Amino acid sequence: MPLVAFEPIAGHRKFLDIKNISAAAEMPTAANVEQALRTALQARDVTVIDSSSGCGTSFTVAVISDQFEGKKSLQRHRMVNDALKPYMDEIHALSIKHCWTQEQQAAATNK
Amino acid sequence: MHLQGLVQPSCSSRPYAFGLPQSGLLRSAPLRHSSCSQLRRKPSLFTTAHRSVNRQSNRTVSAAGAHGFETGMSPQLRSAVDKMVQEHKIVLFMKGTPQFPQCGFSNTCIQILNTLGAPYETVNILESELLRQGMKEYSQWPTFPQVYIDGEFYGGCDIMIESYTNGELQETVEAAVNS
Repeated sequence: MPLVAFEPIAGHRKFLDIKNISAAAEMPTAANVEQALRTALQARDVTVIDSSSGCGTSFTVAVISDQFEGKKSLQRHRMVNDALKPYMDEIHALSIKHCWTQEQQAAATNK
Repeated sequence: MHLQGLVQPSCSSRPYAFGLPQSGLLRSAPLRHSSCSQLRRKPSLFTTAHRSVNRQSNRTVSAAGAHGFETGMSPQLRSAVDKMVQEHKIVLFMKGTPQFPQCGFSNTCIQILNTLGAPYETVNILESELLRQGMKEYSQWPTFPQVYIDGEFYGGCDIMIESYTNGELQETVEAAVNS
């Protein structure tokens, strides 16, 4: 079996192939998270920042949705958590900056 | 799964550890597996949880410990947590201790609680994987820190910040402390 040292490019390529396969299957990207939030909460606006610099382990999110109407803060946070349940195995930290209704968003921006 | 190594050495500023006496009982007594009935020790969260893991023929529970996914809290752990959140008005399940928080979000909660000035208890969920996974199930909340006020789950760090900013937290804490 050839040593990797003598075939750095081939070995690296093989490593990348393996890594990409597993990465696609498990690691959530900001796009995945955004999609999940949009569909589950029928959100008007979603902002997702991968605060783990691309590792997909820590996200900061802000969601504007009508489904939050009449719900208390904790309930809204639980809704966001539930929307991301499939990813929670890989996500280590989730920071929910805002979960607001349309009116709250308008009030906040007008201030 | 040996819990001996997970228990911090005792010190006066050690956060509440589910009824364990401050003398570091777990460290001095050897941990035996469940079937030894001669070993009489004051029941505590860790020893009873550990015992139940071994005593049950339910292999998935011990396997869960090894693989790190939870398949259910033991009744002893659940009742210990129940007791904890009911006995104390404010309980913070955090990573690390108030003196040495191991996570920025946990630290933020500590700072907020210190500013409020109300007495609170902390539990370091890093001490035990069983506890860590168990609390996720108990609170139905995937992350730490977790704050309990007046026996009810209040939220995580984001909620603490939000309610501290708009004054709700002070009201809730005052109501809890005075009740």
